[in-house]
Parts: sequence; C-alpha cells; structure tokens
Amino acid sequence: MRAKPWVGGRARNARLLFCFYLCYTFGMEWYTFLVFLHIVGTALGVGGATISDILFFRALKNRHLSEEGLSMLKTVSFVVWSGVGLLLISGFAFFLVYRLGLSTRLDLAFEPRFWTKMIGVLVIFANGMVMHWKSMPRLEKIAEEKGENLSSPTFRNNAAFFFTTGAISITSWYGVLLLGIWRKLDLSFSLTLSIYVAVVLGAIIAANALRRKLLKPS
Amino acid sequence: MSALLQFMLILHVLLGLSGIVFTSIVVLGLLREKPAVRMAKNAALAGFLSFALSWVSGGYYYLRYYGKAVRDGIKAGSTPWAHTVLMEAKEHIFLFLPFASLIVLVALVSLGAKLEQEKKLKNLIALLALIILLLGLGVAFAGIVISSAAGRPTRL
Repeated sequence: MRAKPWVGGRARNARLLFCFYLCYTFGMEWYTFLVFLHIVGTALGVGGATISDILFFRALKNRHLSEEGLSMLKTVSFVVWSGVGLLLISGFAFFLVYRLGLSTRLDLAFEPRFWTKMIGVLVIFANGMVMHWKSMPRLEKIAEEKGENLSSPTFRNNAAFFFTTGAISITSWYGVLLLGIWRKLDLSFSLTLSIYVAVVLGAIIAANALRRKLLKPS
Repeated sequence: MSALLQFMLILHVLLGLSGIVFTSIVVLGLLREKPAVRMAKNAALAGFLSFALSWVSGGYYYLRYYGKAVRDGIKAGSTPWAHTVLMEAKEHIFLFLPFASLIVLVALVSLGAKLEQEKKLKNLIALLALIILLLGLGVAFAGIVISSAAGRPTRL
C-alpha cells in the first residue's frame, strides 16, 4: 500500500476545528490567526525546501538514492505543498479580512515589495509543478536502479534539471520569506524584481558549477 | 455590508481559490507520463463546481453590492484603474472560466482511458486546463488589487 503521510484526516480536521474554537473563545483577531497560518505555511515551505536539498545532497554524497530516500523526498514534497496551500489560503484571506473591514492593518497591494513577493510565490508554484511533473518520475526511475544510481548515466543526463529546479526553489522560498518580513524595504518594483531575478540566476549558475564539480568522474 | 453579502464574498474568494487548486491538479495529472485520468476527472469536476459556485456568489455580490457601493468609491479614489482596467477585465474573463472548465470536464469524461494512448489530445486538454489556471491566477491577483483599492481613501 502507498505510504500516506497525511493519514489521520479526521484527527487533523478535529485539530483544525479546535484551533477555530480557541480563536473564537479567546477572541483572537482574525488578523492574528491569519498571521499564525501564514507563518506556519512559510515555515513548512522554507523548512521543506531546505530539508529536501539536504536529503538530495546526502544521497548525492553516498552516490545512491534508495527507495526509502525517495519516499522521504516525497513526504517532504508533500510538506512543501502544504506550506504553499496554507500561504495561498492565508494570503488571500488577509485581503478578504481587509475588504470586510475586520482589519485595517493591510494596505500592501500597492507596495513594490508585495508584488515581487507575489512573483516569487508564482515562481515557487510553477517550479513546484514542473518538479512534480518532471523530477519525481525521473527520480523514481533512478531509485529503481541498484548500486551507485547517482553516478548512472540516467542521473547524469537529468542532473542539470534537478540542480536548476532545486536552486530556483530554495532561492525563491528564502526570497519570499525575506520580502515578507522586510517591511521597511523601500525599493522600486523594477529594482526589487531585478535583484530577485539576479539572485535566482546566480543560484542556478552556482548550483550547476557545483554539479559539474560533484559529478566529475573520479 | 450585510452578513449575506459578506458570506457571498468569502464564498466567492474561497471557491475561486479551490477552482485554481483543482485545475492545477488536472494539469499535473494529465502531464504525467502515464496520465492519472481518474484523478484528473475528479479534480476537473471539483474545479468546475468551484468555479461555477464562485461565479454565482461573485455575481450576486457584484449585482447587489459592488456596483452600488464600491465601484464609484474606487473610481473616485487614487487608483481608479483598479476598476476601469482590472475589474472590467476580471468580470469578462470570469464569465467564461466555468464554461472552459466544463469543456475540460466533458472532454475528460468522454475520452476517459483513451487519453492514455491519445497523447496529442491529452496534451491539448492539459493546455486548456493550463490556460484556465493562468487566467484564474490573473483574476485572483486582480481581485487582490481591487479589494485593496476599495479600502483606499478617496482622491481629494
């Protein structure tokens, strides 16, 4: 049977309902509750992206990706997608709360920082889809191979793709985190976006340089 | 704003978001090497229902409240383009999103398992779902700007 890390749907729903109950009983503001959800989403996303990179490099060091290692990567991928989901829901809910007059703390939509962050979120979403569509099936094939499968031609042919999508993911997650917390950042949209694009491109170049070094035939 | 209108606005946003999420599942399911047709079918049905219900609740809010109480405020505010450009585009794009997602659903139901062999057809349906996804995201971001513009002070 396929492993389901999210098993226990009823228990999870009960916990969620309990959270709503606590917020209602203790009069937590919607804004505070949404900040909580947004922080949890970011933690899951940034943490998940970091852990998946660590797992990937550990496997690379051993030159072997086991079925268990792949299963771990899939679980972490699920954690990252959960983070994306929470960020999307809480992010849109912020504007809903603002629109309904339940909070007056948000007037972000006309800030350049906010739109660069949104572009970062879109990049994370699109890159995540590409990873899910292309990386996972390729990694599944590689994990089926016995021995040092991370030295195999199948892996070498796809390595540039893995390193590039990984670099985009990690820089975008940290970029989005930074743009979210750096409230006093006062740069124009074009400059903020240029910095983001430059950092992502720099990370892609660095990751591929590292790939060449790591995969050099010994 | 009455409780019913607030409820309709919340429903409109949440269902619109669900529609986007379900459509992305359709895209991912179809783009796999071995397409997950059953998963794509279920997601397409959920996506269509989400967009259709979001359409109804959004339409109710627009007709009963936005046109009377919000539109003029935005037009008189510091960002009138939020209505004249974004809302005008949003409402027209949003008109056909449920129908486009219905086409995806009908195609998936009628072609079913055949899609595993018919790669071209599968890719075309995935492309249509991707277009719906991108339009849905565009509409959602336009909604953010419009919501924020509604809360901005009026231009003096």
